[in-house]
Amino acid sequence: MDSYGGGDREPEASDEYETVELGPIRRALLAWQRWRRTRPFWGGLLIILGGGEILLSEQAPLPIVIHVGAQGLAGYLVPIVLVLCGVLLWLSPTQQTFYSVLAVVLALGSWVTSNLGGFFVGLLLGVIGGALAFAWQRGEDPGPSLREELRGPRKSPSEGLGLVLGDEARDGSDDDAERPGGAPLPQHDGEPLPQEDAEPLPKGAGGESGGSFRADGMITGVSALPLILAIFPRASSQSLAPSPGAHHTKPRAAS
Amino acid sequence: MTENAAVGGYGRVRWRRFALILMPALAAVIILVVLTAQSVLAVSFAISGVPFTVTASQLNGQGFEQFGVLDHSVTRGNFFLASSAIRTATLSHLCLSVNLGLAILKITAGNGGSDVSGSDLVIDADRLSGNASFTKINIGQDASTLTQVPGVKGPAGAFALDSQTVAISNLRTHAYATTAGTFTLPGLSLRFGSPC
Repeated sequence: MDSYGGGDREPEASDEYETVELGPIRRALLAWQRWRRTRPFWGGLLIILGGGEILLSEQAPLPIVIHVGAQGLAGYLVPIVLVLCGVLLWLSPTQQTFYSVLAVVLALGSWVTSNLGGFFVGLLLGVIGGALAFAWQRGEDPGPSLREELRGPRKSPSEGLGLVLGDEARDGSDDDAERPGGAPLPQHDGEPLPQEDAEPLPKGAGGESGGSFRADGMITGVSALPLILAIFPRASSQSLAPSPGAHHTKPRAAS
Repeated sequence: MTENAAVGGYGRVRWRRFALILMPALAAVIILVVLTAQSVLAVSFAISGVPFTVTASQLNGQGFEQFGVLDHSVTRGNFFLASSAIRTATLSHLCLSVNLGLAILKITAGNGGSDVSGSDLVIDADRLSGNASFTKINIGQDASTLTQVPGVKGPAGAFALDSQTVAISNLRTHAYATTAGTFTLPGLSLRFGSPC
């Protein structure tokens, strides 16, 4: 439902110059399409729906919530933050890793705090949406949007994220952004010229497989956290014990 | 996994990565359900807005209050509900069914040897039936002076009763709102099907 690698390809660079002449409806559609595909849209949507469903299932009167205390308050906080995660995934997709992992953890936590995760429905939506948003990968060069075309060239925001994630450095989009002028080079069926690939990163293909492995180690390390939290919910002294193990996975994977 | 990234800044989902986070997450879900079913993990409830049915073959509670409240619903207008609060309770053969619109969800627990236990239970019900026995019951108390369940009080001047303990067999309630601070659900089963 979400992979646009195949059939409906974005019109190539030659189309970008024609957008000025398109009618308003077509233009709005294109803008909407661009907005939708430049962020983890479906993941965010599922997370928002899941959080909303959990919220709907629990509308206890406020005095009773306050009486019950921390547990009752958490019952509201968890789905609210879940909805926020979905919204922020749309608004700032550069932070997708944090928001999507947080969404998965919150969806799991809602089992304890909020009506068994909104009777399981909201929990499933949140977990699947979070995984979708996590697995979403940014495209190559975002290219100038309609608004940016009017404003002039701007720096691509993906540079820092590429450094953090480690496995995005290979897509070669950053070099394009660093070129003076910032105009996207005409691409030949989405494949960058061989020169560009070799020039910036000596890592090349080897660095890429290493990068994705590193990210995978991080994923398993992070997603093991809710397990640990779930197994030791009460005894805080016990919950400290496995955490060195959880931390251990990260340095080992990173080395 | 070295397919070309999507063209023109359009993102896409990498399904291997999707599975990599979904699998441990689903494993965590299963562990959560199992831990809850073994009553290691206590869950908390706060349901409102949807009418639901709760049945139990036996309820034993410490600290019981009951008073009338006026509720308001868009479809029914104002209507009276009996609000029952129990400080701590154990229930056997608990069954809770909610109509979610598309399907009826049924949660059962406490069918085996161990009972469901809950604390700070508040149930607003319009039908409540069963064979009840109370100890040290106090009928006709002002609802604003109730002390059996700390923090739960009714409106001043309203009729209320409270008792030190309560035991109800063949409990059946049709309720509109419930909250439970903590709930352990041994032998939890969660399925779609017929109501209780």
